[in-house]
Amino acid sequence: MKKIYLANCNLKITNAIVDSNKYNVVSKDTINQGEVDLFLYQIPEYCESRLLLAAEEDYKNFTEVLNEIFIEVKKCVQKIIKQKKGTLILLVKNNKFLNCEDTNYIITEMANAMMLTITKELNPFNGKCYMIEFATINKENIGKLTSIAPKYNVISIDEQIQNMLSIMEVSSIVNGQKIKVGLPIEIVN
Amino acid sequence: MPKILLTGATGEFGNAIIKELPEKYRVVGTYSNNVEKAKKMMEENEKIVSMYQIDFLDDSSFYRVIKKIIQENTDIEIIINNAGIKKDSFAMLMTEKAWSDVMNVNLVRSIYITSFAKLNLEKLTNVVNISSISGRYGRFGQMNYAASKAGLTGATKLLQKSYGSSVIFNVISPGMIESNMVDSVSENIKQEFLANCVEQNVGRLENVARLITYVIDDNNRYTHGSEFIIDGGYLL
Repeated sequence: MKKIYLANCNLKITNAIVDSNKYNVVSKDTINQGEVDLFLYQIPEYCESRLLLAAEEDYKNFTEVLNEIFIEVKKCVQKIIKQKKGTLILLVKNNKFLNCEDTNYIITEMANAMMLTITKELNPFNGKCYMIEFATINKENIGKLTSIAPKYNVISIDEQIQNMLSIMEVSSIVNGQKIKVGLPIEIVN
Repeated sequence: MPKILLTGATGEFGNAIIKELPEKYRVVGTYSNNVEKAKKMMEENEKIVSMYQIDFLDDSSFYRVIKKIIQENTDIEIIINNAGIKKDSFAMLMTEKAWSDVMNVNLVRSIYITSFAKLNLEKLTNVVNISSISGRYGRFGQMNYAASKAGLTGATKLLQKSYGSSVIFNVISPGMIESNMVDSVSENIKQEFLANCVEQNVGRLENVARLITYVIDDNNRYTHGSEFIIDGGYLL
């Protein structure tokens, strides 16, 4: 069984990983005990429309979220380089403009650039990195999809997680890519 | 005469932008520490109406000066978010300070300036953010820089979508441009760039500056939240 480190993963994702019976989950406390094969980091979501209202306090929080992302990514990268193997998988939500003030889009774009850079930096150390992008499913999303493009089937979060598990099985051949596991919200546009 | 707020005015890009701007524009510039250069630029260039010293890395200085600029220049119509830094290091060795400084200057402050200006400047019609193609493909030792620039490109689109058509937001992503910033890039990276660049040469500051003057010009219509890539064909 592969060893997997879960960082900031929500309950649904964590349960799906555990229930798959394919991974030994490593906790924060035991990450340094032995080698880890996969590092699954769910990038924190940042949806704060008040950012556009220029409130200084919100900018402080935004900076803290950005720093939090850096600290977790760096920890995983260091471990992969030290053990000269491992794959870092970044999980993000693509809410692109579902809500006009969806600041999480900034985080998603940032994460993609981080993934591309990390892929290059891990390569000499036999490490890999890729990103899985979830499509947010909510009433507004479903409404838009069915009104504009009724033939598209909305893929539920549970199905998206199953897609994610399938991709993780072939992690050895995935590198430097952004893979969408849900119906891309872009098609709505 | 349309008034422009240009951050990072004393830097090489800032200088080139001011030089290429048509005479009709007036510039309110910001600079970080080069007082002498700011004074000299003001003396030598009629387009510059005022220069403000600001520390993008210090919260109190940043917020205080930006508010002052906006209060004293309510007729600003255009913002060019040009201030930027880089603190390169491999991700495994990167310090939290190197990360947060670059994110703050290149991304967070630009969003704040734009949002604050949008709320307080009635005449604001055009915002140009200066990003980089690093945000599109990642680059060794530049996780912070690439992430900040990709975030800025995303923020440009977000701001456009959020604020509608009253203000035109665009982002310009230069490739490797002849400048001090590029001088510090390793020879290997330069050679790799040149080998993959259709132009087979680094770009010039005035190339980017001219593109900016086009983007802010009244003749530029129907570009909203667009990314203008100026990289000599590197990304092809």
